[in-house]
Amino acid sequence: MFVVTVRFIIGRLINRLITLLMLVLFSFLVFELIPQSLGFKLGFFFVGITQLNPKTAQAQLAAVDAAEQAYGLNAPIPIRIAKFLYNLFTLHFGMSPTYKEPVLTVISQYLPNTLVLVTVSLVTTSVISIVLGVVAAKSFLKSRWKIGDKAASLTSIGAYFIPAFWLGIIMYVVLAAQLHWFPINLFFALRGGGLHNYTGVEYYLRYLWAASLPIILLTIVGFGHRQQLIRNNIIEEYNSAGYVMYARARGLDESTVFYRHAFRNALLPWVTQVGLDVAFLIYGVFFVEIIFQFPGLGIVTTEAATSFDIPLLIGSTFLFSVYILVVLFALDFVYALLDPRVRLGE
Amino acid sequence: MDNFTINVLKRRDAQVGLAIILFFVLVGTVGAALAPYKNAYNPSAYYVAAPNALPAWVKIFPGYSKLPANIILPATYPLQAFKVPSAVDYWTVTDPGVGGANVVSTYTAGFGPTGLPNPGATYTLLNTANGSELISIGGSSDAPVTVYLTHSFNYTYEPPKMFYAQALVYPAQVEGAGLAVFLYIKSSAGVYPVALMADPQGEAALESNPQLGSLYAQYFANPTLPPLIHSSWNLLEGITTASTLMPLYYLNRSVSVYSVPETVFSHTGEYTVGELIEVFPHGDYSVRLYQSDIKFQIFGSVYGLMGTDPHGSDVASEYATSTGVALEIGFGSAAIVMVIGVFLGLLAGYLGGLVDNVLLFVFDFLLLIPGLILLIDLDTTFTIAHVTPNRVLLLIIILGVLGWAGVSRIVRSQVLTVRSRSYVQAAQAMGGGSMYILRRHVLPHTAALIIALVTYMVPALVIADAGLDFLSLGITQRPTWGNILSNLINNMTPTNGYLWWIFIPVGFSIILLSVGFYLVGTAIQEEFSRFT
Repeated sequence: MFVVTVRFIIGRLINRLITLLMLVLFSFLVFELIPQSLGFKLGFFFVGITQLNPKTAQAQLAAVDAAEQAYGLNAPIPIRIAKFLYNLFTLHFGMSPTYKEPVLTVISQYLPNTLVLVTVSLVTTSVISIVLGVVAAKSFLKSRWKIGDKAASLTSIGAYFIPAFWLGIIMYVVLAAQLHWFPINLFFALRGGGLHNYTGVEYYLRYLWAASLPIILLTIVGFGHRQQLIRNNIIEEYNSAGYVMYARARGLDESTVFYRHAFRNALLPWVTQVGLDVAFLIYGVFFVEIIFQFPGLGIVTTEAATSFDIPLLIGSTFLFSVYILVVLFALDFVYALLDPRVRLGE
Repeated sequence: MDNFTINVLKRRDAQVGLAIILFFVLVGTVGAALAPYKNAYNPSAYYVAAPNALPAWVKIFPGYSKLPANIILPATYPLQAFKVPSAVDYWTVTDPGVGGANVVSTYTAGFGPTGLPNPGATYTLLNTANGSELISIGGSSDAPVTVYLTHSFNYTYEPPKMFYAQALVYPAQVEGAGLAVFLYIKSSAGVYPVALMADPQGEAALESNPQLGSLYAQYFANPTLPPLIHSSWNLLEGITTASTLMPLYYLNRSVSVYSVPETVFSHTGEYTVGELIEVFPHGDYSVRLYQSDIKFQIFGSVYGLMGTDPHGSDVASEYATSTGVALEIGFGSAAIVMVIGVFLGLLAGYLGGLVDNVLLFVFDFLLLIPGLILLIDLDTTFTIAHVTPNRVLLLIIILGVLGWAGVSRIVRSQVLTVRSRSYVQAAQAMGGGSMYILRRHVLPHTAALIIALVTYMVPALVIADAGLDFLSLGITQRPTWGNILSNLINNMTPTNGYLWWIFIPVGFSIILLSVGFYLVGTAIQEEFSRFT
């Protein structure tokens, strides 16, 4: 049994690694092959200029050529792919032309903020979707008027349809900018507009204060899909699965049937959906960071894209993907724990 | 299949959904075609009314009924630009009769403004073509001679937020006199000069005025105000957003620079706008002055169907054109998604084996890695490499290329179930080729599902584009739903009512569009599952 589980886990690990490899190849395609095949000199990316200045064009072109030479951008493609892979997996992202600092330094300043937002909201959406999903399913199955189901489902479907950036503007303008219940940005929360320097517990409390509005928004827009999924699954399992009927025939009490049988089986597709929802949360984090001025990797990536800071863009793409794949891999463990079929190798 | 379509159309939810979609299609096509400003973010579309003007229909509510709409005097272009002789009659010429002045005002068809620079602002009217009014003043005097051109109107609204006054004057002949030209607004509360130009002699005469001379001196000391130049067209203008350049700021010290429009139009009643030509003769004099493009504008605090944004642009135009862009992108990229997704889904499902495994991996890859990051990556590289200057087309391509994985996955699983059906196996046994079976048996049985899927995709693609625009990575420099929303963040305050007339329609449009497509898609899917 243990061997089977290990084999399953290793299989998933290999799968995830191949996905990461594909992503790196995608980056290579997008940032090296496509521009080059369209006749664009890659050296521009590393020098940090996109438009030639007529006065200094000569010097700029020389710098571009030097960069191409230095980074070996005209080498044969297989060698470049190997080098690209090696650089990313050893976290050598190069220098960011806009920040004039190594990409890793820039990213490591901002990554923690994003990780806090995504991870916390992943937990909160998970908890809320399960709780509301169970409430809705129970109400649908047991209550006559199904008010609990209607309320919970309407909330989650409604929240799912509301665009994050629209709701975010309302929350920011009303709760932060006008009512001042929340800080207008992270800097204001942590430094009091440059007047204070909070330390210790107070620092973390104020950080949490600033992070709460973004997390609330991500939670609101993120839980609906999984809530509906688990509600529908519980109802379906409870009503039609053979093992539920069997459990009831054995004389098990209703709550055991509901939680140990129907609910537990309904949880499996939910776990798969978490993986897709991480991608959705990361989508949301870009807007949330910009609206609430919570400086994280989303803002950095957006700015890198507008200022054509390609090394930074490659680095942040890679780290976002690593984060997602780590979460997915963790979920594989959860899946193996929940699903005896995986453990038993069926 | 016809029966199926009718069944879908009979459903209430499908009807509601289709009505919503039809509404947006109408706004995006007919509305966008009728929109007076095709790109309301172009500075030439600014200041159609006062910034942050409310929609005109709020006047039906009691608290807002007194808000002014746009008042432009004269109202029509031929009168403003002196294209017709009756333009002269619009202005009443008053000759005070001082010093035996002989004032003659005639319409000149063959002479008009020339050689003027481009207007600095959208409310400035610079018509460089024939048509003007000639005012001749002659006589013999040593006392100043003042000639008024006036037009009276009744103002019945609350004070406006902004007004503007302009005139083009061409002093063709100034002999034996100095000349100053004012634009002013007069009410029972007082006379407010809003623009003033004088030639050197006129300036000296004004500055020697015993009471106001020092104030005039301060006014003329302002280096940004040009003097009146003879034998040349001069733009005489005053705008309340630059009220420190208005003579009233110097002469009427009681007027606060921050509340010029509120002070000037402080009450309802009869107002007179006009031009004052002041001649400072010494002995025999003769003045001939051409003028054209006279325009007074009170900027409306209410405007059109949806008001104006903080630039004073027409929000209705913004909304209609941006809806058009949203639908273009939604439908355009959904078409690409459908073609790629269906083709690869059918391929994976039908061929199976290695092809299936590889394609499945690609589907998973595209679904698991956040699409936004891939979008940003592709968008950046295509922008740098100048693939196409048409941002809308570029976004359609990018969204289409990245969005098909979900469709493929479901088509594939549908193909797998259809493939095991006996009629497909029978067709195979009778020697039907892969392409034949796909076209003849598999595709018809998955068509409805595919349509339902694409229906779900359209709003998702619209929102993805809105998101990119919101991050200022998508379409720039023209209104789209994302751009409208991102421009709001820093402009929403309690004093402008949080710009609800922009904020609510755009937000609800995004939600409604999603709901509309969701209803239609669900109807198709449910009918389909009943059908099979």
